[in-house]
Amino acid sequence: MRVTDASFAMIARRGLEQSLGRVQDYQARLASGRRIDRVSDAPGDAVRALRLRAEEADLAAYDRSASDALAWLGTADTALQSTSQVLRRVRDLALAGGNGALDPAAREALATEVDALRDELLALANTTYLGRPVFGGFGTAAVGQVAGAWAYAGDAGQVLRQVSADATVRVDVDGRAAFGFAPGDTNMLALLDTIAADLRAGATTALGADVAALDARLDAVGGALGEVGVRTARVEATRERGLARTADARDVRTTLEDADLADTVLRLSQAQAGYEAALATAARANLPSLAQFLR
Amino acid sequence: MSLSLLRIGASALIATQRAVETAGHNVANATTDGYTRQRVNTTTAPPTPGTPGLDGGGERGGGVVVVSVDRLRDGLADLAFRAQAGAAGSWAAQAQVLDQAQQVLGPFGAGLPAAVSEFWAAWDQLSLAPADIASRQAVLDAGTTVAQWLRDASASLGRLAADSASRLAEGAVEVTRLAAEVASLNQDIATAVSGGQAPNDLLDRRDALVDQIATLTGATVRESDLGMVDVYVGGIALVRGHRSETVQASATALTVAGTPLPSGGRLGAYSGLVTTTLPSLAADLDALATGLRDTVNAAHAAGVDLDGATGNAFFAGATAATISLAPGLTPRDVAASAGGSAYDGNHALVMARLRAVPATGGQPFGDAVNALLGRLGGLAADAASRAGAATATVEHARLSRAAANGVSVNDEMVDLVRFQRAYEAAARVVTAADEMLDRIVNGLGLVGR
Repeated sequence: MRVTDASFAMIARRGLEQSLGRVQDYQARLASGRRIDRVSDAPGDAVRALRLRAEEADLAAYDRSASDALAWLGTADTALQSTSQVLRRVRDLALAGGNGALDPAAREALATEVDALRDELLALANTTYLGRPVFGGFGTAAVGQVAGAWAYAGDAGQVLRQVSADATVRVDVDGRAAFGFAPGDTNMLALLDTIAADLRAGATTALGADVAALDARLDAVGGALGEVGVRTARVEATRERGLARTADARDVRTTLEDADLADTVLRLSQAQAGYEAALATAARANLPSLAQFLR
Repeated sequence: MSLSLLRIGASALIATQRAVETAGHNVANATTDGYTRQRVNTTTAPPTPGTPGLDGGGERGGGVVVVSVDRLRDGLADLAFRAQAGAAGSWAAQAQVLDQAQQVLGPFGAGLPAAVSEFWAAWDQLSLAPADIASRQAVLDAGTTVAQWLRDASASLGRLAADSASRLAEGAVEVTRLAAEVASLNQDIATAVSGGQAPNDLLDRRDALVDQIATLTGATVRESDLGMVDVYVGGIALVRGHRSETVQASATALTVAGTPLPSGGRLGAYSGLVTTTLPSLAADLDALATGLRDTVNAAHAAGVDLDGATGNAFFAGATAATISLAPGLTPRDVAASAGGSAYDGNHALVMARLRAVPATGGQPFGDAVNALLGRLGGLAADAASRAGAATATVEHARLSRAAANGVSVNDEMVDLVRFQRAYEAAARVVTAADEMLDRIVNGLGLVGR
């Protein structure tokens, strides 16, 4: 192949353009820190990265739900524990009152305490989390008075939280089952009223039956506590798995998306050296032609 | 005898002078784009018969005659270049448009995929506080963002298609102009050739124009008589001798007298994009939009809003260009409740779970969006790499052409020296002939004077 001035110049120009182009590429990658700036940079990796981003966003949403769920369940747990303690105290009081040797003043004192404890139970039954009753489903309160009698004021709704892609957890507690508002049961508030009345009246036999009813209430509360415990453990485990999965996904994604700094810096300096060599060659390529040697 | 020597010397002077001029012309045009080096083609002049027994018989040389000034063009290099130029032009145009097309759904890591994730997350968030107006508004805002991205993407694709169509139209005007110029050059060249001239510079100009036509349309060239060329795209003639056709642009292709030209070159790429690629991408986008709308609306209608009403639509609009929130949708209309209570957020959970429900082409909406992005990225990457390869090939062909056709100053310097020496020698021959003639004319017949 002949070598002409035009072909010479073309080669020099193209060489400079190509090496400068490489320098520019690596510089852009270093400046942005990203290997993938648009999908066409690496289509397969980019789509995987997008899928991982979507997964991370979903996991973040589930984590927020799980946090909220744990708060609800924690509130329910505390309220149920306190309820249990109150009921046990009332049981002690009822047993003490069942002793026929007490005088009316002593029994009055016991009855007064039971009244106060009943008010506390009312407050516990109506425990709220962020304004929502924990034991009342979708109602505005869990327990109230209807025509002078204690009644369940909530509804049958279940408050659910999505804590992972396939796990939905109930975070409220059914107040009817826990507090004795199911049909055929004596609710705990009415029971405490009865106990106070029996204490004042000195009806020791009735108090014996009341204690048995209290035991039934304690069992129900214990059962509810057990359920809450199971659900809490489930949410916590799911949350742990979610956090671990999020960390993994982020690791893989950053490997796909981000530029390996060390590697890119190395390639950039190589490209720069190549460019400088091309410049030096182009400068030195100003070779003399025959014209300079002829007279 | 001397007269013929004089004539021989004169012919040498003329020939070497012409050769030196040609070398000078080459040197002067060493940097002219598209210039093909020229070389003088000489041959021996027709001999005259000698007289046997007197001057030896046989043939008497008659000196040198310049046959032609040849244009040393490598036709194969031209063929190779033009074949590649069309492909390179085509892929370069496609790479540019497809690179813009892949950006329509937003920058990588942001844009529609992120908006879709936010939409599902907003429903999850709503399930935590279903009666909260701010959370409801957040769901509406997230839905608006998704619809906005779809509309913007549709508009951008439309703009790309309109761009390509207008470049097609501009290209048609350009090709018509170039074809007309080639035809007129054909005319001039034919006139010169039939008159025995070699119109080298006209040929150079015509080659440059044909190169441009090849890059634009992938045209091929066929030699015709009297040095003219015919330019064809596929089987359709753009230039035939001194006649050229008018090229027009329909909405989707270049046409000559109503017949569409086969796709090739830069303009063929725009034609292909407008006819096939961009509409197909727009159809995919529409499928995404209708899939989203139908899935979300079907689920949303089953839920109950804050005022106890059911059957509310969430998205409205038939295509990606028109999708939006249903008109008049307020935060209270968001159907978060499953059972009807204002504090029931369980239907919001159902809405959030749509993230895994097939919406378009058997895939959930988010996956379908990523699939479309993957397709766009794949097309752009493919076009870019092909454009790179085609450009490299074209550059190589361009280099070969420059090497074959171009001027090497060293060559011309050698020729210059050579012909200069030959000119000096020829001048000596003329001088010798002159002296000999002088003897004959002035000294003959003057014996002893």
